[in-house]
Amino acid sequence: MEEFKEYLEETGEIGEVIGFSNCIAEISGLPNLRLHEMVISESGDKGIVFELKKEMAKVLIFGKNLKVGEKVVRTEKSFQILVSENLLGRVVDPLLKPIDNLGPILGEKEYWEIYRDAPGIVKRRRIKKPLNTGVMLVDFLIPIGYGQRELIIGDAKTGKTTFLLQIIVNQAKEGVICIYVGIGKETSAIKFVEDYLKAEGGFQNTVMIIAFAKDSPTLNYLAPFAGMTLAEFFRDKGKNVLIVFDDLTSHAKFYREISLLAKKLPGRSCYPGDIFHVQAALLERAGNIETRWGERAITALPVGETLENDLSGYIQTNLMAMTDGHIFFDSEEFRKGKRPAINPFLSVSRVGNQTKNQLEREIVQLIRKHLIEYQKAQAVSQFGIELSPKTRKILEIGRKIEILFEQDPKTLIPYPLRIFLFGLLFVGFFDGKPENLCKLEKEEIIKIFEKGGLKELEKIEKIKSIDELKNFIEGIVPKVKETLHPSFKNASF
Amino acid sequence: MEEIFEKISQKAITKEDLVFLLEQLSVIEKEIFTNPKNLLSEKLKGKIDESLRKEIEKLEKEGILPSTPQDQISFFKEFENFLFKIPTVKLEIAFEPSNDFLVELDKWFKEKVKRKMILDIEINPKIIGGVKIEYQGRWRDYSLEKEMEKFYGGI
Repeated sequence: MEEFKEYLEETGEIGEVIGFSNCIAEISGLPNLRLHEMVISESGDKGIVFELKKEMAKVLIFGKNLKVGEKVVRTEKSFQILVSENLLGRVVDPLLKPIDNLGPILGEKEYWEIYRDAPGIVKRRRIKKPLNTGVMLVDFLIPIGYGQRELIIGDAKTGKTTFLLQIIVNQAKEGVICIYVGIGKETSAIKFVEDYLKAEGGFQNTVMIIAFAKDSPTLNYLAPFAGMTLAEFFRDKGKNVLIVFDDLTSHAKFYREISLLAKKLPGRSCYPGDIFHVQAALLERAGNIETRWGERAITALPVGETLENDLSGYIQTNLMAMTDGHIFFDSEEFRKGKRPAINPFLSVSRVGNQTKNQLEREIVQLIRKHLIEYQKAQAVSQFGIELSPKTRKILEIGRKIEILFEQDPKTLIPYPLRIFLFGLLFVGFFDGKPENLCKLEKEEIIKIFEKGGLKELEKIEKIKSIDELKNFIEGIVPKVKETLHPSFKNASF
Repeated sequence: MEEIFEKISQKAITKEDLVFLLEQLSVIEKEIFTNPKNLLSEKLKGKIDESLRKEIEKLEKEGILPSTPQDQISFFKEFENFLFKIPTVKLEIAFEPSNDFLVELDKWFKEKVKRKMILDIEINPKIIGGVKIEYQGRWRDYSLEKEMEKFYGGI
């Protein structure tokens, strides 16, 4: 009430609730009200101006305490949330209030507006630093750079969240601040994310902003904006930030619900006309930006959900248009048992390639060539005709590449190791070996590397061309064989 | 037509008066279709406020009020819409105002704002003196409450 009186005296304007439906209140009065301004009611409920009409405004409200006839005042401020560095390692709601039963957020806090303009062209810098996801297929074929906006798209239950968690763990361990924004999620799904991050490490560098499916559409709609504001806060403190929006198709559905309640004119699939603008303005706030600390990036990984692999949906195509590429999780590949179930032919990274060095570019070129040949050869092999030795060789290499790309969710493969594994393939290390043996050898090499073995791989960072790599690998193959073979002495294939 | 409506609604000063007038209008609308041979002012005898009935009688004599029931209905509907469009000014004062005070207040608003206003009076003794005004979303505090708070807060 005190806050209400203070704002009333400060602004000299008063309004009245004249209508109320679900999460939208209609307010008369307040002649100078602005879009996105915060309003406060007599009972202390807060709301955000969602739509302005000639004689009334529509306000998004959080609680359900508001009554028709209640007085409302404006605050002359855009909606704000309290941000703090102490949010790291916490699970909070979109208003950044803790929901993890670990007590209040202590320490210094700052009020930040949730609707902020995206940085202008002058502040933006070229994306040139690679963001290592630890997932070999992505790091080679669909690379992501710091400051990029890459859409993660695919059907439900195809491993999108697990893939994102792998990236979060890998990045959090490298000191990047990670923000996971869950929109319209079930409690069990959030528990899985929290447990995964706690078990794999990196949770201390992560903030989880969660809006549950049972929460009001207002909270779900605001969640990504709160997440982006927090990301900007950390960026301006000199940190690189990775933000995951899981997922923006649900966000669009909540926005549609609000818009229909507010009687906004529905457009395609009943979404309001400004859905593109709302989500594009959000993602536009990411990027590689010049700050007083130098270049600092907000890398945004929005998630889009498809139905039956249909990439042509309204929101899905919108999201593709406002991002710098997409990684497509194919349910067909998932059913075949491929992990991660990414379809490299339907995925694209528009700016990630510019972060790659010469060696990686050469390797990727070779992999792509082999994969295309493999795809064609697979089509031919289905006719049941006798295959030429050349076709058989293509099929063998293609299958070996697939084996190398297969990766379980708990394994992260760093740069030298992935270069080394493909180097081994190109020097013929896996030639003629059965698939099972290849798999075991790959896993053994990863284990040895994780335990601190294969110290020679440190030199890979300095290698500049594929020929140089082949020479280097041929030099250490005998040692690798020596290290590997005792493990498989008694193995039978 | 607006001038005529303004004249009929002259006595509606407060929100309560306006509600009363609207109730009277609903009675009038019901009576329009009874006894078609009689004049409306005759049919309304003893059913509505006498001063309003006389105003209607005057309109009948001047030929301003339409003669057919359908046209009479549209006339009163138009009048209703006019009443709904009169802006309301909310006044929070410390005492129960007398009728004369309200008439004076109405006159003052007409002079200053140059249009008819409906006064929504709220009595709040806590403001001690003066007035708090609320009009079309604008709010001003000309009461003694704040001054007193400042004075006692300073002691």
